Amino acid sequence: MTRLLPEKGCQNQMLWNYALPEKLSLESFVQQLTDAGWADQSKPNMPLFILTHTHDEHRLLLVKVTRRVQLRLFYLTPKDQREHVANTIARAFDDICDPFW
Amino acid sequence: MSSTADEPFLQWDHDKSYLYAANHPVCFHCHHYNMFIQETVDEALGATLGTHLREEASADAWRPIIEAFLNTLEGGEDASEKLAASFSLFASVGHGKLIVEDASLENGSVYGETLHYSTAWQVIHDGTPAPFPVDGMAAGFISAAFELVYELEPGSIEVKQTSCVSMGDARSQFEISRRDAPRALHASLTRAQVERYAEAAVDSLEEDEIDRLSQTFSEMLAQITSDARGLVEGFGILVTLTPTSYYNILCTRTIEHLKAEHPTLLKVSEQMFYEAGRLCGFNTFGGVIKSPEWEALIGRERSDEPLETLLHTCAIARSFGFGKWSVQEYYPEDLLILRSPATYEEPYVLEFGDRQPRPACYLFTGASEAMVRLAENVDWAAHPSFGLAYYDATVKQSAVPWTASQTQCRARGDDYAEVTVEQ
Repeated sequence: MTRLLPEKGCQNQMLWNYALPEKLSLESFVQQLTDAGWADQSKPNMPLFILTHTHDEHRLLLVKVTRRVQLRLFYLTPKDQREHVANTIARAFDDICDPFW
Repeated sequence: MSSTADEPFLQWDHDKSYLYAANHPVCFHCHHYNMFIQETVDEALGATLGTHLREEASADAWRPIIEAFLNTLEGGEDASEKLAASFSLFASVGHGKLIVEDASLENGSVYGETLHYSTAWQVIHDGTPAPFPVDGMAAGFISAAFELVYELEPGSIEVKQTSCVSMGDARSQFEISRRDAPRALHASLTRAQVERYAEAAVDSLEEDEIDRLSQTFSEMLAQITSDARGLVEGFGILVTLTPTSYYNILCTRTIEHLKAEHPTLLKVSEQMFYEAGRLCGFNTFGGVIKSPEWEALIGRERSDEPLETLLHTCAIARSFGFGKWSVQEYYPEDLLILRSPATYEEPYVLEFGDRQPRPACYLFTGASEAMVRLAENVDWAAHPSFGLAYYDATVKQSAVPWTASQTQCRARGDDYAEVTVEQ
């Protein structure tokens, strides 16, 4: 089951939201993503995590207070592949999140 | 941006809401404004004159900042290393990565694959190729860097862009040559000159809240670094830090040219600069306050209260270095009065132009209309998608008749800048 949804109002399929299970801490999710090839570019004391996909330059933002998770596809991702790319990334997130649902 | 132990390279004057790099005023802008003001200049002057003006404005605005930056190097670097260091400054502020192919004056050659302006063209025009090269900002920066590294007279290097990513080329390529004689230079502003005009005491409604947000947002902006492409992608926009003199030169020289050559087009051009400000305000401020970054900054989901939107957009403008934009009066569905001790547009006119019978703050005026439209006419619950299509539908084709006019302007001799937006 995917918890990926297109960002409301985004008409070009570049922005996607992902729902995290409540039992999974953001810190743990970020740690597992960095182990899986995402670079954590968050600065100390920033109220959000910012990660970049090492190979494809997609970005992930995680707001610490509200737990909003936004996936931003790399701007040169071809239009006809955006949904597929987002779903592929989300399946990797599912693998991390499934045990916590 | 780099710094020395004694003094940070980027200086924030929170009281007056200005930013300085090496004691020269700089500001943040997004790809929407950068691209639109460029297209405005090109439409007013034509592609050839417009391209030359953009290259010259970039070179003359960046030169003192590059010079100060090169003075922070340890010494002993060769020309290639100094050029690379200069280009690292360019990339660090979101303008994209420049690579030196040949550092010699005889066959000088530089390229970039992800420059801000050609990337902005691709993002905004979504696949439509540009009709001519758009990276004049990079060309100007390269010419100033070569002049400084080789200790040549300012204005003696010419840089020609021979290909452009925005036109479908793999690279944006730049070739360097020496002019027969140095060209005339455009003046650029210093911190001391800007500070002469920002003395008026102006506070906003909810001043403490705006001040707190602005300081926090400034701290967040200071921590954002460019990515491997030399671009800064954040808040749903591509962000650059640029000397304000660049924008000042574009506006003042375009207006002067039209006054002299095509006076009947002057009002049209003023309207286009106003439009650039309105588009900037709508898409930049809208993109920022809808972003996860802003949600993280305010520590909650944003409300739909119009006054909150106005206060938040003022805080963003201040953090971007636009001046101390303040909500003076606000009556919903009727009237908004914004005031600032000065904007970044007035000091340049006062220092280097004639006192004007007409107000000169196009960005401030256009953005003010955008701010009230963001506050009152955007359906935030419907999760708007900011961009040209939404802007056209919500602002340009709107049935709500908001109009903004600048009622006080330092450039006309008034004590502060003020814009009135009313229905």
